[in-house]
Amino acid sequence: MKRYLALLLAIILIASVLAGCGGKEVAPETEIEVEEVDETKEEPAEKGPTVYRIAGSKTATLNPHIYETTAESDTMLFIFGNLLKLIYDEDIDSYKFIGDHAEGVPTKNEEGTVWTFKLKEGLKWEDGDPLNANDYEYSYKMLLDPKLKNMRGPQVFDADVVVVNAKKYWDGECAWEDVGIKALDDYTLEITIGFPVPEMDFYLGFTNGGASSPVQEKIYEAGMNEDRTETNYGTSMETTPSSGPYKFEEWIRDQNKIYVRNEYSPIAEIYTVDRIESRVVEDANTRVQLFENNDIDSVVLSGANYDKYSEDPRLVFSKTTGVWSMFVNMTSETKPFLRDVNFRKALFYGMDRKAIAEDIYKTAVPAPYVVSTAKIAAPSKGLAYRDTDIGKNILPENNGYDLELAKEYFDKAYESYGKKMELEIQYFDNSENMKRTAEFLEQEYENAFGSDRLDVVLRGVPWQNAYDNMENGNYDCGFGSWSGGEFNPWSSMEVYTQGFTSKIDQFGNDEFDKLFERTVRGDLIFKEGERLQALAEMEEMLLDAVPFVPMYEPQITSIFADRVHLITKGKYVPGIGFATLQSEYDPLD
Amino acid sequence: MFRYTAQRLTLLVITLFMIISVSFFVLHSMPGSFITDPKMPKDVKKAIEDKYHLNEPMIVQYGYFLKDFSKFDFGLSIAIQPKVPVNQILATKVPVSMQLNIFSLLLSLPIAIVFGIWAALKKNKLPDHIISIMIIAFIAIPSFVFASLLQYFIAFKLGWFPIVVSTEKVLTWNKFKSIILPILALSFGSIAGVARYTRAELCEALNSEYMLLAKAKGLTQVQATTRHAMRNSFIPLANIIIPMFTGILGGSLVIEKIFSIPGMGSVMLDGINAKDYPVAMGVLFWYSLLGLLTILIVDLSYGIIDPRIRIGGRK
Repeated sequence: MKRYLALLLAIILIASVLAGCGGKEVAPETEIEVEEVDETKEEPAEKGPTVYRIAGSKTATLNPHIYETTAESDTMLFIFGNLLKLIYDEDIDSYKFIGDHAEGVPTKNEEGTVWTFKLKEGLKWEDGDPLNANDYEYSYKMLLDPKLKNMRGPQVFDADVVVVNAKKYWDGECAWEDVGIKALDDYTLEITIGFPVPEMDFYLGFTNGGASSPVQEKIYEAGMNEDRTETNYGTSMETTPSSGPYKFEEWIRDQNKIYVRNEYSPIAEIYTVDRIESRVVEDANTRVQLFENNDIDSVVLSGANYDKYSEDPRLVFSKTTGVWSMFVNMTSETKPFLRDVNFRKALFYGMDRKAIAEDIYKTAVPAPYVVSTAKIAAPSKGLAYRDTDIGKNILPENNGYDLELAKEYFDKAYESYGKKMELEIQYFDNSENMKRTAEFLEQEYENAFGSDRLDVVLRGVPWQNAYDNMENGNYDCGFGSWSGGEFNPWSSMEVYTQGFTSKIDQFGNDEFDKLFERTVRGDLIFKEGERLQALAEMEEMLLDAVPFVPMYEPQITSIFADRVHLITKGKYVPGIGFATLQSEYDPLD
Repeated sequence: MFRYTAQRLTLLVITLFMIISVSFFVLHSMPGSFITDPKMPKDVKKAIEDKYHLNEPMIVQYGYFLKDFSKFDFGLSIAIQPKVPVNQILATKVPVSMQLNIFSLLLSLPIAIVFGIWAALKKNKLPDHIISIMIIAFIAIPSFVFASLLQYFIAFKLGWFPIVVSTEKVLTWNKFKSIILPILALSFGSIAGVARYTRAELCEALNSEYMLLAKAKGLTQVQATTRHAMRNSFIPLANIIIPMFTGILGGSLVIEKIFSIPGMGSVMLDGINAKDYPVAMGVLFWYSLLGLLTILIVDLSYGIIDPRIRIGGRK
């Protein structure tokens, strides 16, 4: 009896294996067909599709109204269209706006508050349905829907471009008719904003795939629940229609995505790549092995993997918009020495940023400043703020590392406090590099100022809690960074104003706040020179008060396979990167 | 037996309810929010959290949870796959992990039992020493180390297998070839565990008095071993083998990450880290249920495997 029982169990087990392996049964047939086609190809002269193979992260959603991560926005660049598109222009070796669904850049009224886009005729969704200005109006209506409460809603009312009454509608306090987004006819979209902004800021609000991309009404509505509080738009291949240069051929959640050209895209011909194969690979070492095995065409390098390729001429570096800093609780009630600017300046000048950037982070650059090198201050020329004379003049010598000066400041602070100081530095407990940085600073500061006068203690904290502690003022020192858009360094200064609701520093300066208002919404907004000067003043105020000690600016290091011939020749272009989809590729073996 | 099973099932339901309730309060007491955008205005963040009742008193939130839970509906994910039903997420991920685990089980059990028997029969001889060293290595070295080594040397350096698992939806030869390395990595630990247990139980049985009696009655060593020692020594093995069968629904966090397998491995951790309460609660519920059922099956199996053991019988 037991033998039969065992036999039965074995049969059930094998059956369950086969059942577990089951699924749609079209794939094997498809595979065979592909092979047959390949075999019949006798003339290799015909060039196959240009394929770009990448490894990426998981995407949680492709609903443009709620996405959060870079992996998601990267996908949206491929499959979602918008009114404008930012592309690389080889002639000027820089970025350029072109019309995507719009005929070109919008026109505006005299006050600069009403902008009008003219849409191209004959636009279509992936399935051939017409796409016009009404789709855009519907999309914005859903983005701001008071019941859906989409996470990306603030993009229209808490960003560089503030649409009239958008927040009120999101809060359910006015009708849609009162909101400043109107499809005047099938080909005209009018946007009314609360205050005038520079062209660059306005264009960027309607460029590339993302929250301002159109959603297809029939699919959005079909996925809506009964009380209209949720929609399943963008949760599967079927519910993610393309309006961009590429469309999905396959999307297996958390495993892979295959994109092919969308024949209905009006800008498809700009791109050289016919097919993008993206594999979800979360392990950094596995990605490098895939790259070395010629399975993918590019990979991001860090740590030991970077060391291996540090001399490789194929390395390219992408800038990031954030500067990582050590925030200091400058209003601490329990530790009065933290309120002493001399103490904070001692921390500033006693920090060896070069060692942190190059020895610990390896690919980072030392940053004794607030505004990252990626921030563009003169969009028309593509000039970075740090490359301007004003931006350069602020920089201290030797990356701000001056031990003698640091000791002078510390002596003053110590004299004022009168006893041994205990300083706690909190770091993210999931980051080995951050832990090493904290340990390095502990050693450096105690050696420089004397362990009999300063005792540095370290505390590992989950990153969310670390930011909460900083926001609530429950810390001495802690690491953190703010990122932001590349093209508006002024609006990025909002995080240091007193009115910012998620403020993690304790800096408060009325003059700073006034300058911020003037550069973002006030009289300086169209005065390029004075606006630049104001930015430098704001940065100086921060460096003088030292609410945080800037440390390093991360760089993302990538390497591309030999078959990829980057059109930018390895130069990082703001807003574009390396223009991989416009680059040339050798055929795959 | 029936009465005992009914009693145990009642206790199972109560235990499960307690686990789920405690988990609910612990998870919802964790600081932080599922909204990760630090620049989002406070009022906007609050409005979004309000939509999911997250700012209401804990007991009110618990009421909403119980209402859905009574229908085994854990709602929609709010972070790791927003707007996708939790049960649907699990339904797509469980088969992926299950496929690997079943193959691993099919590989592990026979090898482990053979190794265990061989080591016991050759106790304190060379085969026993070799097997024991292997067992210690397999137990001491974490499976993700094996996974990394197998991937680097066998897949990357020698090129015998793909570096990551194939994306094919059905089990073709290519697909099978691509999952061999993760299966091996998953199996080493199980092989070691079962082999060690088998060896220990069989050694004890071989030295027992009933073996002496069996041989005194005229049975050969082989007959006595197969008819008496092995059968008796396998009873305690139910303790570890049955959980292996029920454990096939779980996934391995690191191995799945290394070989890019979209299975169950990271769902629980991702759900907790992302404060995706519906997903975390859904996974917790199903895993708790599975764990409790496993314990029940193990207990009930004793009576089936060995009729001398009577469970819940009257005195």
